[in-house]
Amino acid sequence: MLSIEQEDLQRLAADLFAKESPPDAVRRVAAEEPGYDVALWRRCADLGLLGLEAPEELGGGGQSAVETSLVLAGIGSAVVPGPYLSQFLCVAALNACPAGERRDGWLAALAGGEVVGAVVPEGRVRADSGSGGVLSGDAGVVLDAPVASLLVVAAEGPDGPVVCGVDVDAVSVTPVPMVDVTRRAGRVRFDGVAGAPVLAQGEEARRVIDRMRCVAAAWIAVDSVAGAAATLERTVDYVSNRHQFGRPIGTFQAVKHRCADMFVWVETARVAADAAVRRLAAGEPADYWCSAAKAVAAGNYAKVAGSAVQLHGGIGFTWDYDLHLWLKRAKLNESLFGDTEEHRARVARWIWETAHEQ
Amino acid sequence: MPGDPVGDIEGFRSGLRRWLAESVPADWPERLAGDERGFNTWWVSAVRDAGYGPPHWGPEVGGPGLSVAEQIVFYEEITTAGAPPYPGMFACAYTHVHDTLLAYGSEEQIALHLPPILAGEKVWAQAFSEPEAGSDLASLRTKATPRGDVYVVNGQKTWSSNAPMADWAILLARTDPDAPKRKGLSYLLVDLHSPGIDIRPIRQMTGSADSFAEIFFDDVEVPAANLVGEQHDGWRVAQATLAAERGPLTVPTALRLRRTAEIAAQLACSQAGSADEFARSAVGQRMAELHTDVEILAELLYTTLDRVQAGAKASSASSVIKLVMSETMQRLTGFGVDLAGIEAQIYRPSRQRQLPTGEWLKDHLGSWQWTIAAGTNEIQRNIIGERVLGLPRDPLVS
Repeated sequence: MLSIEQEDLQRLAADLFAKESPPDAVRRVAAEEPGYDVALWRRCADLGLLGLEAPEELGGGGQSAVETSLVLAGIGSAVVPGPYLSQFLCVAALNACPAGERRDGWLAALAGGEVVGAVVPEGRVRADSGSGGVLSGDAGVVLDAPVASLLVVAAEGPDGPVVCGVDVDAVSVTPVPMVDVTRRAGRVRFDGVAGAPVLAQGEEARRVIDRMRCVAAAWIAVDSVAGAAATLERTVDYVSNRHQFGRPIGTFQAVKHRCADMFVWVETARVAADAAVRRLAAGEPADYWCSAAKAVAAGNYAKVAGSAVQLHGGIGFTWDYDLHLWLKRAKLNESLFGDTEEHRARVARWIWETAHEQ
Repeated sequence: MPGDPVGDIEGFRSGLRRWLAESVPADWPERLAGDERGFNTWWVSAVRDAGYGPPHWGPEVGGPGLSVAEQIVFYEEITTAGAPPYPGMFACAYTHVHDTLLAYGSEEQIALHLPPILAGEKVWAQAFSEPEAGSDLASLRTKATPRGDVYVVNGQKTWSSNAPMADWAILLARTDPDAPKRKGLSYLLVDLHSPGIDIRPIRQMTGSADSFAEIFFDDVEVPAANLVGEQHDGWRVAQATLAAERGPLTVPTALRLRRTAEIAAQLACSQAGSADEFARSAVGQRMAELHTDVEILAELLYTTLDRVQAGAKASSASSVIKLVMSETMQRLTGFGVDLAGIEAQIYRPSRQRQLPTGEWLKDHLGSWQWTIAAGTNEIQRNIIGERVLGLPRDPLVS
């Protein structure tokens, strides 16, 4: 259960993004460069929302994953465009790295909003030495890379993993248009990037990378729950007012029961996302719940948004009606930071290990 | 949890655990099978005398008045200890009768009926559903006609759990045939040993034939003093029965589903050679999904109970919990049937009734009891749609 301060933050974020980022604003800013509302971004920085988890001495809020999740819920509900999720992920990653001049400087700049960060997850980039050295590899499509100035990179070195901070000017970024216009992404290639500061290596890097993976999964889950709840609310409103056969279509069980299923999908996803966030905030083992929540919440978001389109009928299929903004974001969420099969495989490995301990 | 510092709760838990270890006989399944009624009476009496039951009854009616946190611990511990089912055949008496009488019963009714229940002497059954009144309960036709100082009851009730062993029933019957369907009902306490009552067991599709019955009423005289609440106001009284405290009582089923998932996991893992092979296999993927569903159910239940302890009503969550629990059970046991292959299809007579019985198909068939009873899942979806989401009611139904 939330504290009074957390409830205040939840309300602040929900009101801010609902007011500043209604669907017509989403469409407007998404159609222009840089693809998000820079004034709103600045306002979030001024309100301290960008660096909630950064240490207070670095200009952050000294808060936990719970607080970040409350802000992300406001963003997910209103499908706000902008590199917020990546920013929060960078903050969490740098927070997990040992303190140092470079790390502290970036954390302060991320919290202040002057630097926009993005994350290159593990498995794509190689480092040619244990202390970083030269980075190379095709990182594939990276969320928010075209608007970021800092990339936090999980790379595989000859002696184990390393985590580096890379100036985006040092890499090749080719923006790619996304079907989900609320999010920007680019193809990122590392063609022998030398001299990138190493933030963590060896065991420490392993820990940071695990944390990044868990946090990314949890943030997608939080965005998904909020987006799903928003589409359900719109759908309930629509089927309560849309009349056919002389009565609201929400009176028909075929429609009502689908709405009830949508509610169950939202609430079960919420339980899983909350469980993940709570464990992240408490510093408890979170692997199981982060992967479970990512799989369930992104999948349920897609089911809820898909059902929302279905229950709206023809109007839901049009470009001018807003629902597709959520459905497209839901489909992107299923794919980002490990798809459903990958996260289910992680849960399955956890089950395997538990079964073999007995 | 106010008033329940963690230290106290853990002390409560260890004391209970010790008591269970000393008190639960290892041969209880045989004893239960040998004399179900006698054993049930012994078991609920032992729990009562040790100060643990009936967990949610207050001291004013002779209960221990456990806090919600303690009730949760009670149901956790009896489940993990492998203790006999609690309260077994006294479920209706402990929850429905107790909660309804405290809400609407007279002082005389409370003084007359709760002590024998507490003593483990009286088994109660619910006589609500009828062949023509299931989900549409308010359309029921069983009549209770006032005549002098009695009601004369005629009609047929069905799907009555524990009725073959029951001494008393809570009955919902029509006292005003001319009123709108919810306005003409009354709530009566009926002695099932009265003349004119015929109880006929119904065999379930699982094969079990000893705990489920229909009840026929032929000119049965019920004293007017057995009316609960006002005459014709039975629908309102019945809502107290239908809303009877279920929260902590749901804990054993959630924990049993966890145990079922563990057994499924052992079986599923045995079909793969390595963690990687398992993780990418269809079986591993499905296992992961079901395991997650079971854990979500437990989280959902426990976070709801946390809110109940903080003073919130569980009503909006209870339909979701009922749906998720029953449908997860159906999917998980169905998965077990798939895993076990032809072995699951072989009939094995056994007395084990509680999930997991060790027989996947028996557990799977049993899951329909959960999706149908206590308001079918279709009714739960109506409730979620109308009461939680606020969707308009069907004009033909309302």
